[in-house]
Amino acid sequence: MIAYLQNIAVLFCINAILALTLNFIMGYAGIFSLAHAIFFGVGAYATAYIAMHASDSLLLCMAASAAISAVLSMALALPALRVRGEYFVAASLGLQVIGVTIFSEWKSITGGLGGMIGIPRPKLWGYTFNDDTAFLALALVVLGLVVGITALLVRGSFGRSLMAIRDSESAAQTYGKHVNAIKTLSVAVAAGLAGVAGSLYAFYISFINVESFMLETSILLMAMVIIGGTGTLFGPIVGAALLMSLPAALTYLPFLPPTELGSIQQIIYGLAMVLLMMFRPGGLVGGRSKEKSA
Amino acid sequence: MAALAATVAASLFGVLLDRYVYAIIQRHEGSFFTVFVASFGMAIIVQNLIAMIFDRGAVTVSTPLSKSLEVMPGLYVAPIAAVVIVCAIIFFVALQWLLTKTNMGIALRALGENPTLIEVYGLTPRLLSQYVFLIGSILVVPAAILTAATSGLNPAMGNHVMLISIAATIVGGVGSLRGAAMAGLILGMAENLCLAVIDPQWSEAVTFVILFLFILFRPGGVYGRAVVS
Amino acid sequence: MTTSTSSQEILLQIRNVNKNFGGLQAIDDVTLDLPAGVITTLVGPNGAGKTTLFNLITGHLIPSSGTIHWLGKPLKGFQPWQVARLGIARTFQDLRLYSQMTVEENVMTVTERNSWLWQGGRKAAEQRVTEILTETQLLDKRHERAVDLAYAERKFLSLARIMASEAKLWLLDEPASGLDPRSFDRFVTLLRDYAKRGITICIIEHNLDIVIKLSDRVAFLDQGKLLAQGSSEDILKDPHLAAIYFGERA
Repeated sequence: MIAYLQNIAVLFCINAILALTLNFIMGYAGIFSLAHAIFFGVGAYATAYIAMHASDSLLLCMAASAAISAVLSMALALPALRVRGEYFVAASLGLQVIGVTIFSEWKSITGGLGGMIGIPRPKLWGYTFNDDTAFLALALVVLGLVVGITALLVRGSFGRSLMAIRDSESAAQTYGKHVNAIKTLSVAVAAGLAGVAGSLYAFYISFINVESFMLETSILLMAMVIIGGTGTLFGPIVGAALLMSLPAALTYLPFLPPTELGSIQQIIYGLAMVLLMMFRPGGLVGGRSKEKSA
Repeated sequence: MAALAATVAASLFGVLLDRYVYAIIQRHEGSFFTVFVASFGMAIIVQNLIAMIFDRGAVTVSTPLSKSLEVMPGLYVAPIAAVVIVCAIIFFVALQWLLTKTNMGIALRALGENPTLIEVYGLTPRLLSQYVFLIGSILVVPAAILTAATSGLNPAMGNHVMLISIAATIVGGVGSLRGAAMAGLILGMAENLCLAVIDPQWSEAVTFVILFLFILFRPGGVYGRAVVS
Repeated sequence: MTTSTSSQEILLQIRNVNKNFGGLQAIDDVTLDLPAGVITTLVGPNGAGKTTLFNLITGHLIPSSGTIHWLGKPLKGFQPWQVARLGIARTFQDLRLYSQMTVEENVMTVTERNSWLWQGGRKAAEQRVTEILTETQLLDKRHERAVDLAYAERKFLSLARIMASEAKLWLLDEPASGLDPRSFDRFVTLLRDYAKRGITICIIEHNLDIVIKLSDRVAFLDQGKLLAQGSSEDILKDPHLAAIYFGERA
């Protein structure tokens, strides 16, 4: 039982980090990205490759994952600078599909469809995180750091600049904000931290393949952010917790046919998204309706 | 017979969706974000419901038209392909006529540009938007039927259709019917060329590479108005 | 037509500026000076090019020919955010407030030019924000979201933002339209106050009452051409201009 809970807890931490970072660009910057799973994947593959071929140092792998994700996020930032909401979603969708194809095809780096197996546990200052409980502690610490970084950015002047750009990009430009630089930086930060989540994931599960980084995952992350509440600090965490406990909760309902659980799960969060948008667009934590501009 | 039932079902779904879900959202605030998310949620629900009710496998409908005939030595074409092309042309022309020659069509185009002005003329954006969903839903039916007869249907294809529709709309240029048709053609050809010539795994991605390039360099699409932030 | 040139500094100089969009000549050989401490109003029928002129100054549009000099230097090839940092600010007819942010945040974010992680001079900025909110009588609304404000309050918030920008040139697009008489008087007082401090103010306005009460000088634009400039009396009393303004063309 303990092992089971620990497992869920680690995965929760990872998903919470992903949801938090997605919220950073969706809720605060107003950039709707369906490609977040790709940055998760880039981080995971980067760590996997380095850990298996070079060094299993925790700090090195995480830093590399973060850096590579952040640099690759320029591919997302470029269309974000060019076009508004609707068009940008399509671009991110495109990036997601292209990313999955690259993950599946670049066999030398990613192991192709088979993925990579045998990723070792990380080492930090001589200590190897073989113990699952220790890993959970690590995951919690990283989550805490991500929450801290996000809070710092969001509550300070950077957060205000992001929100100003979200609410009225033309006004923000007019009052001196270097919109392109700010958008690019926020995408890079979000992608970099998503890469860190990927790093954790690769270390923990010790086996990764493209299935974890497909459109379904991006959609799930988006659902977490929306249901929990965009533009709030704890909304995504709530969303992650809820959506992760869903599968477990469903197994306790005896009248549901087990083969259909996957579909039912999806129906529930699809339904949640629709109902929330109709009555409470701010999400569970956000609550208040987001009205049209002043 | 079945085609008629399909048409009714599809249009009913479209209209009800618009009336009950989208209308409520638009009354409160109706930003792009909320409508998009709601439609996404809806897609997830329907996709999974279909998977649950009809089973996950592929479904095909066979008709005598599906069998390939040897048109020229080495070139096999099924008559149904001709049906597809003819249908596409008929619907294109019909839609074009609808949008340019009928009152409702003109009102619809005005809706895209200036919703408030519509009300001045005694029309309601609400009602018009229901018509849009009605027409849109009806138009999807022949495509669905023909797909069932050619490549087969499966519950997961919703994603693919959505992606292609968005890609074609943007590449062709939002607001341009000609553009959408042209883009559909370009993307379809690109995808199939890829299947034949380059690695088949890349065929889906090719559509998106093209989309991505257009968004970066020509967001207005082939025929559309430029829409830059 | 009198052009009163006092010994004031001429901060913005528009010289022979043209702007055409394809076949349409939106701005036709306009030459205009905006001196410090003077409130100039741009009037003219709809479509005369007033907002276009603003856009040319702020860098949202590039002149087809001609020059615009600010503080002696040409404004050439600058992005809007760079123009803003040179000390030019504008408001919009549709306000474009940061709707989901609070009143305080709306003003605060304008003071945060270099919006990276570290913002020096925090205390001074907070004080300035409080001052501005007091001047615009928005202090008790500081934690309300911009979208929840009443109409007059929104207009004042728009003004508060420009006050916080520390700009030396204010381009205001119909800033006072729809204000009730009391709010309007407050508005005028505030503007005159800042004009006295040496700010150059240029306003686009349609309401002639407002024009009379607010302006030191008036510039009349029609179909992209600057037809006349002078004191408000001179311009508004000219029957030829009145005819154009009210739609009867020769």
